[in-house]
Amino acid sequence: MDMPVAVLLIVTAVLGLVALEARNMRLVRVSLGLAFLAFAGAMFAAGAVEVGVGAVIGGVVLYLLLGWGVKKTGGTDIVAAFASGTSAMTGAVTIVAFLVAAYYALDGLGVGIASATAAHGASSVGLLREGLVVVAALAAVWAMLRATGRRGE
Amino acid sequence: MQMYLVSAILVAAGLYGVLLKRNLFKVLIGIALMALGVASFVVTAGAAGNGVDAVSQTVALVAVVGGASVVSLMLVTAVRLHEKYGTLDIREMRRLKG
Repeated sequence: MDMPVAVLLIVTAVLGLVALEARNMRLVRVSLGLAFLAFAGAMFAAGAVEVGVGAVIGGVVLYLLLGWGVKKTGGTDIVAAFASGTSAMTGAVTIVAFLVAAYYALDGLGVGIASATAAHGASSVGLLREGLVVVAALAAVWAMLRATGRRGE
Repeated sequence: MQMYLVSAILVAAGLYGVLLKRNLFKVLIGIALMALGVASFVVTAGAAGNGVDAVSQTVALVAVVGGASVVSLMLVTAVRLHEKYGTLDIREMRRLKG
């Protein structure tokens, strides 16, 4: 499962970085939506169908909400691209330290983590999990509408 | 190992947004990316044969949906903050707090 999944996850990371770097908020929104789609594709390729479905639903909810947020706040990111000063330096050092620590930790991890077999999994509640995905997504939308006082929309 | 590293890169990309971006929307996008990275790590850890075991899928599903839900609610809060302060710059908000 390694190669196609890894490629799709790298595409996800690249699209995520595009979303972080773009100044046009419409491009930010589209990039984030595509990143979630690429991630869902990676999960489908890996055989984790339910995670893929969850990613699609979560991506759709975020895409719609981000569109609403962009409409409310303006179409262009006018905030300075980088945080500056000591905090930026600390942030950069933290990211590098994280990657180095992750590399060495994963190197010692070997081929895989001991995981439960399918026999131990809760396969009989698959539908319930999917239902929970939908409920969680709808709860987020409901919370948004309630918080902004626009239940009628 | 390769898959774990890719997951770590995804988390690092999100960390970049959280730590180095000043636009609140970008910070939230960083959090969403980190949730995806964690989910892919869990799925990789649970890979067995041709598929992924059910427990790992459940945990990853919670990471993805929980992350998306939290980011959704924070996005609403960000819009409210924009209405109050007139900016999405987190430093400017800190300066303007009364």
